[in-house]
Amino acid sequence: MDHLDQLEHQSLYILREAWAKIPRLAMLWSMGKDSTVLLWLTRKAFFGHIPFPLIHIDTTYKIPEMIAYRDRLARELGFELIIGRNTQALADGMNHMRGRLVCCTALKTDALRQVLEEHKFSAIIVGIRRDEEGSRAKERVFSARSRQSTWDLVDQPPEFWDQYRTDFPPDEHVRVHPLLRWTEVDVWRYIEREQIPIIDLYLAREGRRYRSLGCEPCTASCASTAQSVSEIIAELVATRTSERSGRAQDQEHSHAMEKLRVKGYM
Amino acid sequence: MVVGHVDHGKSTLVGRLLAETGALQDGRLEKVRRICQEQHKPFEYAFLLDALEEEQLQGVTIDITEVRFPWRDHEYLVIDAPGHREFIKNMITGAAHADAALLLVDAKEGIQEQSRRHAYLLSFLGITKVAVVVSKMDLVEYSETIFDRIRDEYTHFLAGLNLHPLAFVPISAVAGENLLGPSDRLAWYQGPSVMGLLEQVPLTAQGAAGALRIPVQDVYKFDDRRIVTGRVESGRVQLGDEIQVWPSGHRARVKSLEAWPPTAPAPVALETYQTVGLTLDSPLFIQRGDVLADPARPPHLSSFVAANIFWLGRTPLTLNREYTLKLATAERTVTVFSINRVMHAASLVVEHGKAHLGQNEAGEVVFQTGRPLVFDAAAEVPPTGRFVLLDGYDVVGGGIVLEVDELYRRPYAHGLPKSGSIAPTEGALTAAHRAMAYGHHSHVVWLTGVPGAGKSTAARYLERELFARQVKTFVLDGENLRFGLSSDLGFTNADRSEQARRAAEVARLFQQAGLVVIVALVSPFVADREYARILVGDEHLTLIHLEAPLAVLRERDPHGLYSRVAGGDGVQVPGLNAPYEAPANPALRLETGEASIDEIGARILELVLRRIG
Repeated sequence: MDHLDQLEHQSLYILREAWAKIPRLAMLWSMGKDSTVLLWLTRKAFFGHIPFPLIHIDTTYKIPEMIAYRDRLARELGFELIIGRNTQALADGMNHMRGRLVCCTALKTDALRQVLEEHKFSAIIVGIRRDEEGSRAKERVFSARSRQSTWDLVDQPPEFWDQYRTDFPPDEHVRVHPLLRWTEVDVWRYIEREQIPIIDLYLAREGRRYRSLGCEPCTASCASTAQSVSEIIAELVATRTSERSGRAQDQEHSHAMEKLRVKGYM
Repeated sequence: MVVGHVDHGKSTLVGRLLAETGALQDGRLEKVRRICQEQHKPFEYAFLLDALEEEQLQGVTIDITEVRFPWRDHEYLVIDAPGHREFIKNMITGAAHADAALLLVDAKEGIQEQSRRHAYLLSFLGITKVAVVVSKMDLVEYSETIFDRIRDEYTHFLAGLNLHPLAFVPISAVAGENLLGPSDRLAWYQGPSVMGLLEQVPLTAQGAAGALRIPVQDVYKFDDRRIVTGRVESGRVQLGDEIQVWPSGHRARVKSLEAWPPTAPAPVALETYQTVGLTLDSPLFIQRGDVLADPARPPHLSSFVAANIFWLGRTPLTLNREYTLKLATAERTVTVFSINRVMHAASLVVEHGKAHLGQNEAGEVVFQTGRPLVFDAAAEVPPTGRFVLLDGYDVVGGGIVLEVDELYRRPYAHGLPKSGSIAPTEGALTAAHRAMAYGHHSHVVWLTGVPGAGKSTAARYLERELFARQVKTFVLDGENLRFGLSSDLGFTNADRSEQARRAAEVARLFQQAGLVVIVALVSPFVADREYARILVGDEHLTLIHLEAPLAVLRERDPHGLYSRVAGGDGVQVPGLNAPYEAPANPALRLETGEASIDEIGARILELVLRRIG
């Protein structure tokens, strides 16, 4: 087994553990590269089936191509899609000008919380990775959240020998992280190996491409000539810029992402 | 994996390695510099890993960080562990999947409590590839004498854990000495640098030589296929292989290995650590927690599991208390049957006769499970020989299953008597005295099998033959016990268990009196027979399974049982309409349908004579 095989089998094992043990399960899906790999692994794990609903948290500020791609894929693959919006905050005119962290919390964290509450999900599968940023590096594969979605990051349960915290009190829910050990390059190498279709925002147009996808006002593209997945990989192996450098919310202050995530951000 | 005592410089070492090997992306160093300025601190390499605000404010590592970086021909995954006693659970979380470990010791402080406890945990987790890094050599002026002293002391301690370090490496992470290449300030040192050492660590070969074990994760019926999923934890599986399902013992062949997408070729074989989806050629009832195994190399099936435990719970592990045990995909409620010894993991001091195992202590514990558990000894098949323990929802410990023989070699008390203040009285005579006087050792021959399998007939034959050879012997027949000792018992599962327990106790008394006891008892449950084995001691008990085809049983029809079932009068007959758990590994399994009693009896007799000779 090579490195990608190991990652793949580990992720399949995690997905099946979640499905076997957790009664009300859903998967967060953002149409980005990590979500795309997660959806592919789901179909592998369940032999072509997608046995749980996918949730998209729609801030209404997403890059328009993302929404078109979302609706097309949902039609083609026929999975159950739940779209979560914080309608109250949107009606009040929430936007990033009121502060990026305030906006992220309202339109993403709170919207997610509302979906979980409404559908009574006991766990959601999320495609975060350890190499994205510091607080994600400290995550567990099965990561407990309080009813309010908060994360107690200084007192996490032990997790070893692939024995995960799959049982929890009724007022908790769990985030399942099948891609935790993958890196950005792993994701692209896997997309290349498996020939997984991706949204073309990742490919360079007029000398620029997106490396990480998010809301239009807070996501910057980067200079690139990569026209194919293999060119993206070559670019990433050589680069010294971090993946989320185009994501404005990360740069707000020193522990911005940690602060967001403790409250329940993905 | 980098482990060691608090403040001995683990995160600093890993942070510096990241910076030196060029693994850091732009902005990471600047971000740390900015944070250090905000907090009015000098530059901290450790902050590259200790990303949490709480960690940076307190200057400690709370949780593990995993970072990957390429160096020359390989990519390394480095796990930085916390050194604080309170965060042992996090250290284990990281260490459990490491191939090798660096034990860090501060040159100035020397070997401390966590230096020892972490070393114990590495040996407990089975990580044998360890090296010692003596850090902060700059604080002791790069003294060879101090380095030698630490090396000698730690080598001695580690040898007691059967850990033999690949190397002892002196470094200064802050000054960058001996990290990537040789250091002028450590001219007296001839060994490898840290990265030189990592390059030399032999990679773990994942052999397919182990016995096949696939713990079942789930059975899918999304479409017309009935797919059994799991992971090959040991060995390999191929299309057409015969597998045995445990605990049921049923056999089937692998009909297909399923995969998606359908355009890709389906696999013909799967190796260790690959996940599988397979269908079988016969429709067996299989559920999560079952184990698919190589019929030639079966796992153990028992209600008693002896293990080395490491305890993380805030409240101590307590005798007779219930916990949940999770081994691979199986889950059982277990009771703490005995605590054989407790070990202080930092000093290795051993204590006996304790009723508790405290936080961060280790010990040897026997658990009794409600239903028998399928497992292996960790030394034979590691993934199905280790488990975690839960108290409520929380993981409170880990365990490594000991060799089964290990369990029987020790004198186990059976549970605790209800009257707590009693102690056994020592007899004046020993077993050796009696054996000399009687001319043979004592023994228990336990005949199990469904009604009509021939237990009583075989028992009478044995009694006669042994008696003729001057052997002091006696038969305990289940039937006869029900007229006296067990006259209060019926035929429910609980009553059958109690009947077996009483038979075991009486057999033990007679065996201690120097006799060869022949027990003829249906004893349908694995747990009850295991209980007898532990009570009497493995070396004093021979389990023999008698069986016969159903047609023969119906013909023999003891007490008209089989015809009564056919007549529908509600009688329960083990093996027919009530459970009978066949033993997995009896000393003899004899088919009594065709063979004469002389043939059957002679085979048992020969075995018994050898054991008591």
